[in-house]
Amino acid sequence: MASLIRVLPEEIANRIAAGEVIERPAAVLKELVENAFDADATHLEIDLEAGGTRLVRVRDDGHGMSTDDLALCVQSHATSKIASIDDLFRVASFGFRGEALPSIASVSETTILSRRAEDEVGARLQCRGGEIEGPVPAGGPVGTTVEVRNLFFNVPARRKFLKAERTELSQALEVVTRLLLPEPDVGVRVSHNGKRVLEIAPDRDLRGRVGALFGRRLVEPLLETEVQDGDISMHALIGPPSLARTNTRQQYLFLNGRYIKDRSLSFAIKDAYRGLIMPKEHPVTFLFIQVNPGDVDVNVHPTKTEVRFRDKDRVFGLVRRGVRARLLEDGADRPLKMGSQQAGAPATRATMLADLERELFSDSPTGSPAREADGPSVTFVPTAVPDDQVSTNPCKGHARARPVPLTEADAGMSGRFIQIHRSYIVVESSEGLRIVDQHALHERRLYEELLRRFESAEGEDQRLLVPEVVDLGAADQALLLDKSDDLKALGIEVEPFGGTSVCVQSVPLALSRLSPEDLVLGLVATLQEEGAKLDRRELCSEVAAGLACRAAVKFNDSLPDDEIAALLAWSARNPDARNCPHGRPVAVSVDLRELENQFQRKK
Amino acid sequence: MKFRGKRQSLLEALTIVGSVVAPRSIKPILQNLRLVVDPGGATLLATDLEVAIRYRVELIEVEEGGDVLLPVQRLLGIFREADGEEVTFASDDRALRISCGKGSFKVLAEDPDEFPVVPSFDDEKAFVLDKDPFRLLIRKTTFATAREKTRYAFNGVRFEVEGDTARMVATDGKRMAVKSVGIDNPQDIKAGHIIPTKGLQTFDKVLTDSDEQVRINLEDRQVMIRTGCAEVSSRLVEGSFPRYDAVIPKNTVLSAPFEKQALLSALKQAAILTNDESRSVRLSFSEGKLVLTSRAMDVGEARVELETEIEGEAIDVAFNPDFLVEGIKVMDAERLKISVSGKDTPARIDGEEDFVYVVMPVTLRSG
Ligand SMILES: Nc1ncnc2c1ncn2[C@@H]1O[C@H](COP(=O)(O)OP(=O)(O)OP(=O)(O)O)[C@@H](O)[C@H]1O
Ligand SMILES: [Mg+2]
Repeated sequence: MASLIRVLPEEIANRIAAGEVIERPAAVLKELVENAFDADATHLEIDLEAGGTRLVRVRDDGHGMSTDDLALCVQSHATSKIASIDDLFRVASFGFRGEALPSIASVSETTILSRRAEDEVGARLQCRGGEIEGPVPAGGPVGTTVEVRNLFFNVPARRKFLKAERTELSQALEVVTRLLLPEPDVGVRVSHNGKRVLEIAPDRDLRGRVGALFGRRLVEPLLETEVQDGDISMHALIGPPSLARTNTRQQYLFLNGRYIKDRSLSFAIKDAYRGLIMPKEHPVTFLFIQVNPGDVDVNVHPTKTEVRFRDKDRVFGLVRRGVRARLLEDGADRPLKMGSQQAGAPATRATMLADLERELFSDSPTGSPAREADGPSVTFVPTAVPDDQVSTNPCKGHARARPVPLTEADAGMSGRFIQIHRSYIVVESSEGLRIVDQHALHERRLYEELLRRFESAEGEDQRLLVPEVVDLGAADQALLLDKSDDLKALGIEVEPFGGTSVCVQSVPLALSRLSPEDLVLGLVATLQEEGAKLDRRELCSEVAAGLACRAAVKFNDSLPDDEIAALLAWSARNPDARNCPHGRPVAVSVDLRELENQFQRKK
Repeated sequence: MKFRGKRQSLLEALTIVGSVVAPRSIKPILQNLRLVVDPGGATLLATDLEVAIRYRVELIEVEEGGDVLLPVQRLLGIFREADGEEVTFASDDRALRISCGKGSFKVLAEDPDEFPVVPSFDDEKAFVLDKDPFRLLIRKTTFATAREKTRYAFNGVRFEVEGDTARMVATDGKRMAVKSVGIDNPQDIKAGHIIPTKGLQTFDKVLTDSDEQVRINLEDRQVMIRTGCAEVSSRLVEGSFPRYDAVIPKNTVLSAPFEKQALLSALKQAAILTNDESRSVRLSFSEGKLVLTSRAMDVGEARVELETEIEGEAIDVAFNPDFLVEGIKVMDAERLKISVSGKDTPARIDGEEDFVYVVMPVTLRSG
């Protein structure tokens, strides 16, 4: 009987392995562009056909390959970038496995043309499904051109998984975006089916690069920050809370110039925006982190988007602090959107791609691209003004008469506010008017108060004459008592009390509106949600947020004027307190100019 | 139904009965009162299922009796706004025609069958208390109950009868008021029940009439009282209530006497410069004086000085000024005494006979 076990020819092994990394044209493109970057290219020409399934070609102006190297580059584990296993942990280049080109070459018709500056002529290598031809001498500019045609021509099973042309194209463009964002000094031209789809000149800086890729309107409101902690640094462009989205597609994270995904850093970002955006919203963030290459292991996953940090906590801390600090420096209400004049939402990448696709594929559905909602929207209906009130000039069209803007002194101190529907407070401001959500503002104030007390370890606590005993059940009792030291710092003294109960001895004075039982149950709910993994600071932020909400004035609570005045005065002193701890805005504002538009006093 | 009555007395009755009706009831029918007219007069009935009231009003003339449900708020509006001394009610199909002064109103009436039964007083088991001491019990304690909903019976007042003493105790867990009165208790009734705040407030309203005595009937689940013209029943609150005598501090380290009005005024002055989030006033007792200070982050500071002869050691202790003011205000005394047992243990205020008020301090944490 013939043996069933055979050693797989290398060519077949490559074909199987290729599936792991090379799934679609976008993956080919990624490998080729990374190789070009590794070769110090400053300009790339990318040509795609049929979403990249028919052709992916990358031409670079990098240092090129010698004829000998060209012969080697499609050999498995042939790489110029790593010599020993020690190097593996210090990689500063994109490639290090020497696998990409062999894998690609085994499932396509690949042609590589390369010339170094020091060589008179270059060489060409052809490879069809792993069958190598050449290299043969060939003329061409300095640099390398890799042309990958008919991907998966010899693997029909894989070919079936390729998606519609525009899907493949948009994935390829996403790859270009991820690779070019951290390389502002590299220029690129991309064409698809012979049509130019993207042209990006080398940019001066990060802002320019983000703008080139995502549009001016997105980049303009972004806040920039650079922070450092020893050998870890971060350069970031982050969206103000008002720019938050309903998905994470506009979050880009780079480590040492490499696009990565990292759950813990995503959490750091989320945490930095805590209290500034709604829980279901996601901020726009472009984060570029640099660490010592020796302190990060990029070899966790073949697609290299996951990494392992030596000092995860420091990176986490830097990201959270840096983003948070920048956000709090910035301060302005969300503008109230007026009905007829939708304040133009900044062009998103999604809308740009949609525009692009419409242009490229005449069969694609038309109609306006879906805009992502951001912020509250209020319809403003102009009211008719009785004739007798407008008999004089102000309505005659060319009305110059404009309200005189208030000075700062008038604005905060004029004391002009009214509470409407026992829920909102309308206040005159220097730019127009603000509408304040009384619950959100009070909640924020309580939250800050609790946090401040925690941080300064100061505060007033109401001791209980009759300590409150609450039976929580074993699990929740343990959960709560585990944090009792931290809670004590907040003014909440809980002690074990027979069985599965706890006993509350004191509550922070600021929370005395809350019954001690509500307080304990609120605490437990917070702990259950976030788990025991929170450190003291996070815990206190969570607890403060949860309790502030329970203790704050509610809608339909009428507020005496002096309390409103005190709330507004607090708000004026704390301009960065723009959202309640759950992210709802504290106030929206209406600009005088917007009113002028609405009343048609201005063209 | 057809009768004539005095607008003023009907308005008074309606105001009291209307106070039982919950402003936003889940059962719309409870927004009504039931009006039963018999040859001797009218009975107004209302309930929110926790407290129920029957209130008797004399009428000028009854031509024909009847039984209807009427919307309380609208009736109140009519009786308040209309002029004229006399009111005439007359059935008109499913409606009731009310004429009062220059106004005439037709109010749709509902079928009384759906209305819950309002219990009537059972004289058999009742005991009798003088009205004024009973009222004192209510007024000196009810204010100290918890405003927020709590697990404990802190939304009610504990009412105890034992031997020749009747006592009410109220607390919200942070302060406590205890008032006792002497009673005749020939039946040697012994009781301890928790009556919800709203029940007591309603009791207080009907205790205004001229009757000198009030009859009380304590049952397992409800308490009822009867005065000359009203019967009020209230559900009892279930739950545990702290033992007041365990809460009142016995050993104090300092005591100081004050003029009630001077102390009240000093507290109110100091309270001006506090805010919701840091509502505390520090009381610094030292030789010959008490200095009250307050400080709120965003508001400012206050300092008020009072003379007093302290007995014991000098001490600083802070309180929520509202708690002190509320307790002192109800005391029927010219002079009173504050006794402190420590910075984080209860203080007591004495003045009025058979009344003790206990307050827990606010402690200042600092890092
Ligand atoms: N555009 C290019 N310019 C110059 N040299 C190149 C270029 N592309 C590939 N090479 C050479 O070919 C070798 C093999 O490339 P390949 O992408 O297969 O492996 P790698 O980049 O070393 O590692 P990885 O598999 O992780 O990408 C590289 O090490 C490099 O020396
Ligand atoms: Mg490579």
